[in-house]
Amino acid sequence: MTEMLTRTPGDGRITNSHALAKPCGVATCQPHFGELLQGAFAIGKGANHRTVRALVSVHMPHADGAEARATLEPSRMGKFVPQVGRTGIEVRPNHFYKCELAARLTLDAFGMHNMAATLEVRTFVPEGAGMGSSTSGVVASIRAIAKSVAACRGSRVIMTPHLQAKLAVAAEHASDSLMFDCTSSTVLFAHRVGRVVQFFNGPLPQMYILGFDTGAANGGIGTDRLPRARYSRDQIAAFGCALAVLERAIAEQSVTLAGRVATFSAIQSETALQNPLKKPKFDELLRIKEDTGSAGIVVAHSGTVAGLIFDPNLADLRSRLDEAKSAIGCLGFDILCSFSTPY
Amino acid sequence: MGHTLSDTIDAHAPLKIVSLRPENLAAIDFRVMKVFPAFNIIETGFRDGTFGPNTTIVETSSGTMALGLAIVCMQFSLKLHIFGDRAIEPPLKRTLEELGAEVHLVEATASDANVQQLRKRALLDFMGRTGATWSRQYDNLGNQLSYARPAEEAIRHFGKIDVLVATVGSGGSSCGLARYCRAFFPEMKLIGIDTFGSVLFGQRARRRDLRGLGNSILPGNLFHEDFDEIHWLGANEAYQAAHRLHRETSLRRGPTSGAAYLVAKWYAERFTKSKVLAVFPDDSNRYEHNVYDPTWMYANGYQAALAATEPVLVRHPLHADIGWCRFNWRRRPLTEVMGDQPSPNRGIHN
Repeated sequence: MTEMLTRTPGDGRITNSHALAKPCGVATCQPHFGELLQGAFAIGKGANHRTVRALVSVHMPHADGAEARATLEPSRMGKFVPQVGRTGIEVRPNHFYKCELAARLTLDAFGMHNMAATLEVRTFVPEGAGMGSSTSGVVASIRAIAKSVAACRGSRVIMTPHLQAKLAVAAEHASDSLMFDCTSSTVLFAHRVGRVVQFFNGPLPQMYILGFDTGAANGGIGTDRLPRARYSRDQIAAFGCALAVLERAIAEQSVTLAGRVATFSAIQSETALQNPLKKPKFDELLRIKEDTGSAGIVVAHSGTVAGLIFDPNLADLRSRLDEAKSAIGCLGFDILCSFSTPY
Repeated sequence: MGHTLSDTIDAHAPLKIVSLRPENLAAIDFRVMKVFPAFNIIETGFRDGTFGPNTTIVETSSGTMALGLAIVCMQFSLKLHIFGDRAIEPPLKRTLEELGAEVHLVEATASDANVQQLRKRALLDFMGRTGATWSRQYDNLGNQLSYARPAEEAIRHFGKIDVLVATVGSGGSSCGLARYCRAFFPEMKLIGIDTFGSVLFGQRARRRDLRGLGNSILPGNLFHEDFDEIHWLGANEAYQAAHRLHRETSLRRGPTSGAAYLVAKWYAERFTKSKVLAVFPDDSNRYEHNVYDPTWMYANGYQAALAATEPVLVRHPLHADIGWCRFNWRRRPLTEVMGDQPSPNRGIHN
């Protein structure tokens, strides 16, 4: 993550080499790889009882997601609103309207309603794969704007993950939980509300994931138009149990238990009461999981990627991975990546 | 109302997961387990619109389901009629009536083989006259669904479960708990406990001295293919097991809890690497004047020295006849198990 802390001209303090540059900020956000768990959860008691949709993202902390550069334009003050085309944000590429909205909302959150900005976003994440191409761009944009605001004010700006989450959901209606630090704790995130439903007492156990794409041929999935999965009461009841298994997985740092949660969630995605998102050859994938000693199968609940979870401490990890790679290749899926998560 | 109701349920069934010895053994200590299915069935009825505020609920029960329903119906201000037999003894009858339920006792000895038929006939007759609604604990799928939260708590406190030991009556708790645990641990073994003369696992209906588990009809909530192994216990074995549970753990519970403890402990001691979870459905309230009364026990011939202390492995359900028997059910349907002809060997010790 690079940073350019410049000051507005004329504030009399030290500026860096771009003495006359406008206040700007650069920030990044990593991608994710599907969700370890995603469903509908019955929370609260009595009068507070409600069902919320929520997820636990599988972060890719070592991968490039999106990078955003925001530059404030004090010379272009105006009356702006968080509406595409009227935001006062010049975004490139210009179809990144969610980033445009997020930038406006972030400036508004800092009380800078009349401030214009330019925003350049670069993304390294394929669209429709379920790897957070949209959210990583949005979060990088929010962070870049915050940095540019810090540069403008000449003071530190603290941008909590909670505020990033609120802004991201306001901009794109549903977000992945990429704004949270996956190395300190795990969050169950209400992705359509932008709030944390539950903080778990630690990170996920370290897992090694072999990732592949089950739908590259079809050009991915337009996640914005994807109808929401609806789950039965029985499934919602079982999602509650999944939280208990996840708590144990985190407390024991057990890849085995985390894998069980992932496989359970993948099966619910396949079998939702309405609008299930079926992965091609899912049964074959389950078989490969069994045959290769994988702890579980993680899927994108609104995307095409899937992965096999392995315990990185397995003595014969290399040979199991090789075996899994060739079996997945035989199904006709492209191997995308292999990575360690959450650190 | 909603708020106080969940508090009330928590008070009756606090869902404690108790660690026991050996260390691979634990139990869900329900106290009044049936509050869960009772609440779920009533709540689902309201949600589906099959129940309204003026609905009269009817159910057949001679035990804790009656109590569970009475607690929940009282909270919802619903009228409740219970059709039971003399297994509903005066203290329980008074409890139910104080909670506002009406109790109808059919003219049958508590142990008659066809007691459920008689209770059901009386219930249907009442429904015909009054238009009351039957909560159908034996066939209502809401019964199974209500065990998701207990399964969740068990996993939260005990982790991965390798063996679940549960007494079987309606199939709700045993199959319900197994359903939700197996969503994550499909290899988990389910051990069911039944009693001689119960039809649940292939025996012929006859007089049963041990109540609170077993049945004289086959409930729709019972899925035979869920079970890996079945144990049949006699009344004396379960009564002595309740005493043993009390002596060894200080938990004073009913004979169904005792039965679960006996079988689960046997498993935990044999398979020390497996985590064994027992289900304790009831407390001792109903048993102070019989099972926990030495005079009553002596007068009825229940002596510790006569109780089986080890299971006898049988090759067919019809070979299980006395004491403590076990059978490898192997997740088969009832018809498949019963189709296997009984072999002439009447039982092999373990």
